[in-house]
Amino acid sequence: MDPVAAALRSWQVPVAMTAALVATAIVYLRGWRELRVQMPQRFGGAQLGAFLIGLSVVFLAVASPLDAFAGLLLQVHMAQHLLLTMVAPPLLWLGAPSVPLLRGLPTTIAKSALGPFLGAPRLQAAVRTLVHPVVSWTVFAATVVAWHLPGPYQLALRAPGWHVVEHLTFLGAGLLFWWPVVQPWPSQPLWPRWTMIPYLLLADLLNTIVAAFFVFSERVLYPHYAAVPRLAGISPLDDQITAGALMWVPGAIAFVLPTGLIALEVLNGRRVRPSALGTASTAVLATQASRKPPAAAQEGRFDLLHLPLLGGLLRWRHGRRAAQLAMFGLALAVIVDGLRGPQMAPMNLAGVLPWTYWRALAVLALLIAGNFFCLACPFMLPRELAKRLLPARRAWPPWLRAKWLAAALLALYLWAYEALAPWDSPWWTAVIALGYFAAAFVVDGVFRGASFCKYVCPIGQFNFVASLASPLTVRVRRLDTCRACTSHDCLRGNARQRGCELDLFQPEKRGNLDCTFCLDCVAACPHDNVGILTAVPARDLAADRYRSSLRRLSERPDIAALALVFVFGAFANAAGMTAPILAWQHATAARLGLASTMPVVTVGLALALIVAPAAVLAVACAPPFLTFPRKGGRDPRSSAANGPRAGNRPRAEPLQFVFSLVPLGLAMWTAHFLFHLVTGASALRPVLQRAVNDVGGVVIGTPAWAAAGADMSSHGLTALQLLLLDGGLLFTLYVGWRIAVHERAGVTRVLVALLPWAVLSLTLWAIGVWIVFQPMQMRGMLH
Amino acid sequence: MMLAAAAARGDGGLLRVTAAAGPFEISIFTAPTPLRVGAADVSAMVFERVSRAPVLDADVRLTMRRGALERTAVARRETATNKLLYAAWIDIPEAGAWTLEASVHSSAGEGVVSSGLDVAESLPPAVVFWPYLVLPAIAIVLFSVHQWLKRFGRSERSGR
Repeated sequence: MDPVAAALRSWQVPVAMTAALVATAIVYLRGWRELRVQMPQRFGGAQLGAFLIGLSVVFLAVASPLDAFAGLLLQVHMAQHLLLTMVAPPLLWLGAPSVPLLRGLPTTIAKSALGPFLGAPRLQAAVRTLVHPVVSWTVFAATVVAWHLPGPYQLALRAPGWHVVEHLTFLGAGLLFWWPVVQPWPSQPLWPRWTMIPYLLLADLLNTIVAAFFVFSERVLYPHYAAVPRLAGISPLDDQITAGALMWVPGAIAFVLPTGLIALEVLNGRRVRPSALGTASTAVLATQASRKPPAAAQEGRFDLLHLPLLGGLLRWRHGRRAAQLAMFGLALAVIVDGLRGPQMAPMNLAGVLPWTYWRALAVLALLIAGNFFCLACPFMLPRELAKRLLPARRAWPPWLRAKWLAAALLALYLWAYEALAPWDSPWWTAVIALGYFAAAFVVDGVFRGASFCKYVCPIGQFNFVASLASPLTVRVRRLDTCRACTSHDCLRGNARQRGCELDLFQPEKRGNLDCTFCLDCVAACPHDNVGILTAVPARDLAADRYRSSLRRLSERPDIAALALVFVFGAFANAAGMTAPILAWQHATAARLGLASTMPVVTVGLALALIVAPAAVLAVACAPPFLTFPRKGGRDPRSSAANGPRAGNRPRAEPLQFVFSLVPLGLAMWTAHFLFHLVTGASALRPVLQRAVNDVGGVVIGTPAWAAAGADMSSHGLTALQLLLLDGGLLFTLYVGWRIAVHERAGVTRVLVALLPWAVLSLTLWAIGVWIVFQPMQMRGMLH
Repeated sequence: MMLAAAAARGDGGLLRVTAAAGPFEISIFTAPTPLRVGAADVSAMVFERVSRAPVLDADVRLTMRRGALERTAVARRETATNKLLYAAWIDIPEAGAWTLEASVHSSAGEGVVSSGLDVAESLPPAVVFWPYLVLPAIAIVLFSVHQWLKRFGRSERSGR
């Protein structure tokens, strides 16, 4: 290959950086679209173009071959720094980004989260000080001079961490320097416009002096470049001279060009009065600009069903059936291969598809969208068949209608996973899948409605609890329409479409609990008034509202028990595959003279899945004297606006705190399953090849088992797992805070009420961090 | 934007040795700095000695030795960010003095260079990942300030 072509292919596209830039561009674009309508003279294509090109320049500087070759050629490194200090910052400010970025953010974030900071007088004063021309010029000059001294420059070349700091300070100083020059709207200049002429010329003078050192120095300033291999025969000194020339000439253009433009502006007599408001006005104006009138209904929210392609597919009459058939086909393949294929899990579809792929993808879907596994559940087909072949007339026994059985079955499922190790046994996996099909057929062949989904299925219960923290929910679009509705087809159904089999009445439904995303209500509603809308999970978890057939969560210790099994199960299940826990299990079994570790595993899981949840539930249901009195001594949740009255519920609130733990549990499950997905993803191709070849007829290549080994490049994975746990902890603490604040007046009372739950959350988070740091058993993988 | 700039890093790592070997001039880089027990990014750059042109079609094998311990990896250009380099990940099992050897074969001939390396003990994971562990604390402090501003910020503004 041609060396130049190879060099030009030397891109690295870091995921986090690219995601940050794309997210910034999307937020800006959202705000710009709104502002273009309101202020077309101020937000035209030029502003959009400048901002997007500015972002692209940042990307170019840190992801292109410039970065890959910066350590080999000083001139390339210089070009990279010029992009970060001289090109990207003025382009970004020309996009007048502060208001579009605030307008582009969701209103809750812009107003509630950022509002208090942006409106704080001290912060405004600090920003005003930072962008004062004297300060911004001094910071820029100090940054340019300091980083070009041999010591710091060599340090940045030697230590990647310092290289990051160097780039951050260059971009930061560039942004500060160009602020008073560009003066992005709506900020007001602190000094008269003409003062920017000496401001820029002084910076050019400094730039010339530094560049002259590079050009006229007779020795190599940075020993690093004297040591590295020389590309294209360029000597270190020539390289240094070119770098100096780059800094000198294009650098001078970057300063002189705006100087000329400002001079013309001043000579043409355009007056801009200095203002004491400075940047404070930006913050206040932008915050006000982002205010929107409160929506009376859900209109205006994102609705998945309104998306062009996916929305159409979801609304299609046979859409769900098609997804179920696809999943049914995969389940059949798992069963057949599990029973007849090789009994080495990583070589069998039953070892790879469910335990590496299905779990991780289902939980990721729950985290970023909603309960889409239940939507495509393969066990729906035997349920439907049972409804046709069997009477299905009996009602589910009233004494089993709470979630106690579901919690017990979920705990049993988690125990079976550890004790029977189906992840290591394709045969067991196939048998469990067959058992699932049989149970779905029998339960829904005997009982009415979706009794299997609502009261039995452990996977469904897992998904129900996890989806409490999901950002999408099936709900009505306009409440006014429901108030006028008398048929209630979403619940009762009609001649062409059945209603909700899980007894959820859409206008009263809150959150995703017990919702299988079957979309029967969407099809049944004669007013087309049900969608898949965005929700704020923290608000839903913190507010103890009436939830149709589920009533209020604070009245349901059985659902709290299910949530606790979900949360504690996340940590127990992940801990069960760490080397220290496995070693402890074997040592304990040996010490007790046991032939297998199963009794030890069983006792451990009983502690984690029964004793610990029971203890927490006991505290949550503690006598009322252990809790502080609430605001004004009344129960604010019993208002008519919150739904039917629930009567006197003195122990309701501690139960609510239990549900605040769900985000942390979901984070642990996601971190755990993501580990399996990332480390075992490469097994799919050879397993598929083997399975297809075994069927005969079609040969799709020889399985490359060597490529199916565990991928252990784990630094990024560990970082991602920790970020998930951090997010889960903060989400949990925030929900807990909202619950405590909702019920109490006074910071002390709020903190005292929150304390035990915060301690429990932090303990679980610390256990999660410990688990992530441990060597893991490579389950279901070739190693 | 600042986050984006923070992602930037050099490619190749620390230059360990540049030496002539057969028809080549071979340079070896390692990352991280200092090298520690665990995964190490080792890369090699190969030039023709006479023409100074980069060699892009060679077979490059990297070997680390310490007593009876030996770790070998085939370095590929596809693995490297800088496509003029050949890179491979090598898992270093223990701390101490190691020898790193790069052997290069191509139609032009073959060459071998080696260098001594000091490998330090791995850092505890809590030290390696400390930014992720302090993140919740930072967020809690910010949230506390947020709540304080919500509670008292208004009176501060109105008092001005």
